[in-house]
Amino acid sequence: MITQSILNGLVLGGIYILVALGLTLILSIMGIVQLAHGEVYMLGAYAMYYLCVHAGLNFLLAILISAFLVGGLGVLLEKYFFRPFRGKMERALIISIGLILLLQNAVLVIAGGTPRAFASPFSGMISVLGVTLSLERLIVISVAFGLVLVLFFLIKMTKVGQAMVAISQDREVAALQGINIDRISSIAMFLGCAFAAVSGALVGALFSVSPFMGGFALMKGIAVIILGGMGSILGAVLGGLLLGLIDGVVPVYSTTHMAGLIGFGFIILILLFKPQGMLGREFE
Amino acid sequence: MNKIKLGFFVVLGFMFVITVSQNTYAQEAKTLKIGAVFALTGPAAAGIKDCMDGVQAAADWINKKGGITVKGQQYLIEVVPEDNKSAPDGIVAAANKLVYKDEVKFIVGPVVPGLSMAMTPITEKAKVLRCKVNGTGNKAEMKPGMLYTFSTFMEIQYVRSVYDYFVKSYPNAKKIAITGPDEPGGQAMVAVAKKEAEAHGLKVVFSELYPFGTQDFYPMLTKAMAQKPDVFDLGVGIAPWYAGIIKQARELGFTGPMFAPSATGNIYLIPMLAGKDFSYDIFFLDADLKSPKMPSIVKEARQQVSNKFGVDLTFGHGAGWESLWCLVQAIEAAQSLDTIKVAKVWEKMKSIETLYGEGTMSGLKDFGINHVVLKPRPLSRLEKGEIEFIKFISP
Amino acid sequence: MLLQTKNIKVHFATAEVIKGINVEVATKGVVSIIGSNGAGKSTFLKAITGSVSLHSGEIWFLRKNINALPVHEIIKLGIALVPEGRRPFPYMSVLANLKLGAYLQKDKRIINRALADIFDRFPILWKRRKQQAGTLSGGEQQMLVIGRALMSMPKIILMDEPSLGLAPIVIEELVSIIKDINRDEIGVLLVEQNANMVTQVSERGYVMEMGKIVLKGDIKKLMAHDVVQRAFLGT
Repeated sequence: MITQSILNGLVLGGIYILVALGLTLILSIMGIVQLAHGEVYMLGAYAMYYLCVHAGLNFLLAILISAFLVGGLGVLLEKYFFRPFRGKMERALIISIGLILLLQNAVLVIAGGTPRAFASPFSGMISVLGVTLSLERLIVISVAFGLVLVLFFLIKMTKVGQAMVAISQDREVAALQGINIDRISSIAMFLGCAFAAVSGALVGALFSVSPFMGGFALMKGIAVIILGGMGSILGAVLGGLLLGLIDGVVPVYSTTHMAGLIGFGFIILILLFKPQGMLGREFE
Repeated sequence: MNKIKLGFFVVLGFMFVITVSQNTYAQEAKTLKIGAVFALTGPAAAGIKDCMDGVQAAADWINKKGGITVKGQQYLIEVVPEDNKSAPDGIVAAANKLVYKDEVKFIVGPVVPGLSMAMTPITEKAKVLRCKVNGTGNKAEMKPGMLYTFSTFMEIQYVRSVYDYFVKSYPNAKKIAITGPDEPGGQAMVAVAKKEAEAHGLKVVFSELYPFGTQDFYPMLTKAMAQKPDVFDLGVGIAPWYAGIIKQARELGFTGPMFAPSATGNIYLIPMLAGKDFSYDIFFLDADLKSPKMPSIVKEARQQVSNKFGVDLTFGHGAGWESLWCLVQAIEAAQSLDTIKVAKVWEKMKSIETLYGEGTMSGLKDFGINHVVLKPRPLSRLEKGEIEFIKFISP
Repeated sequence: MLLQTKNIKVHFATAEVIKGINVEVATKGVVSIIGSNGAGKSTFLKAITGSVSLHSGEIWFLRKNINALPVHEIIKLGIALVPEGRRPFPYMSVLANLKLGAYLQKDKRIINRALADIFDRFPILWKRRKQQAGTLSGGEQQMLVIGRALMSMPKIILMDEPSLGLAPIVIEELVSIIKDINRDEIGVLLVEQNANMVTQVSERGYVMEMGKIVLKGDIKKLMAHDVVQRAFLGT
């Protein structure tokens, strides 16, 4: 039972991490908290639904296209909604609350309120040492952690990645090195939204898709980055894992309510003793 | 002289014509505003929007047949829709708007018991007659003193009959796991189900409430499966929740029967969301409304809904439909728009028409107040992803 | 002329902070601008790099008007800024900081050659190359940010109060570094409050007060002038 619940925790952790990575990227590059990130995630799930069910595309191909579509939307959002308010937290908050309503209602009008589902082609079950895991969930874990590795590689090894790190530490001086802040913001927003879209698509495959699924994702994502440290990529990964394991393991031995309680207990403890989060540094 | 007489008659004649025409004018239909409160947004919205559409379709259907007639005066129904946003503060705002701004005297909805409770004090105080859609049977949902609150049905009244059916069909089942959402209705249902399970010789090996809005049931199911239950009672819920539990329980290797002594809101969603392969050996108090075994009134409602909204009738539509229809029957039986009079007549009605056959007013025994419609309800199975009607059960 | 500003003005909201400044910098000879706190020196440098926008006037660099260019385009033309308060990227290694200086350079070989040159010039940075920049001493950080500026192989370096907060012995070192840089055919525009350092490093200069140039010319003559004596040397 413990192995089973740890695996469940990894699945949840993977989903949380993907959402939190996007939030943290946007926060550190653009200096704003994108509250409509949950809706971006929801759009990813809907794009996936239409691509799989209506266009009949292959599952993995559909994830890829959905990530690119939603990432592209992110680029537009950055350019027309957030660029004028870069670094201005309060205004960006208002804009993103407006976006939540806009996107939710747009989907409600277009797709309706009825939840949707699509079948993934990985419907088999794997049973090893008494632990059952659907192939679907295995895919979720591998895609999520695969993307985390890709992001780490990107940040450590590429110029764009280094530019992102530089901007997150000192935007003005980064520009003085010849870094085009607008371009890097676009890329960060693209990546952040694409990650959210993948997360939404995976959740859609596991559970179902509805216009209101974003709130839950946002809540978890924010909890993860508070836990891990604002603006820290590794922090988002560790925070996501921790919260995922809490949500996966605690309810098995106690109740789901207790998992929420312990999760938020952790956050309060972290904020008391290390206000920057586990791996965070002070954020300007 | 004759001319004067003639003139006199002409004037009289005119007056007569005017009076008569005014009379016929007065006989023309008035509008009766009826509020409808359902979750159109928020976590409870999925499927429940159908209820609102069902109310609208029923209003059209009743209006087409001439509306409501009270003491010779014809009234056409105008539905005033309000979104309760799936939240207590949302429903309080909606209720206040309907009662004080729109000044409606009659309201239908909502579905979720917790939301209904949040609204009751407002409608009771304003003496607004309300027919809520469904209900589970939490003591706070319906109790003596709620003079103006009625319900189209209460789930707990049907639990015993469903368990009767279960033990007859599955004599070998011994251990049962019972679950449901953690809200007042879900709590009431699990409590009643536990009692009925034990009364029917089953051993309750697991029982837990999941938080409202849960998507990942793996943790709960992992724990439940460790107790090796033969059957799951899924309690109350809406289709996406049921489908989530079914899919994930099957993934974790549970192959036994699952059932809920409750409706799903939209049973077609279950094989769609859970997958056809996993949708077997399951039954609900719900129905394939397309089945030829449905009463003719269901066919009429289906026609109406598909004309208006271009979709197939769901159980959710039906529930909304019945709430308005029952309310209208009570108004016509009372021949009054005075909510006190309507309520007094309504609670004594021996016969009230519903989509699935003739019902009656009940509830005195279970709730201390005769405000609940008791009616036949369809029991259906899911096999190989197909919905198949079994029979109507009436407690 | 390498860099020339023609009557440039900068407004913050309604306040005029730079009130029409004309400055000329050639490759040969360090040019200094001295002025007290709040005279508008940093704002003037930021106007050149495009970090703040001009209200009016023109900036010419290598016979090209760069008024309307965004920061990264201006940097690309060969201008580098050593910002006030040093500002290395504190949570990155010394090496990563230096590499970011050559952000616009695509050729790996050129970057490596430039790196070798920097480590040659500042051996201490080689020793600290794996350390986080935020943990260096003030003097080391100043070397690092000058090195970072040099990595872009600029035609001119703008320096914003490099002596601030450094020990006299480090300032001495700084003077010789700046002279070395200028000897390598890189123009230097130095903004300072430290009159002593300015006298050692440059021949020509400007005095700025309240967003205006009040004096200009030979640095030794400037230093002897009443205004400077009063304002900076406290006599």
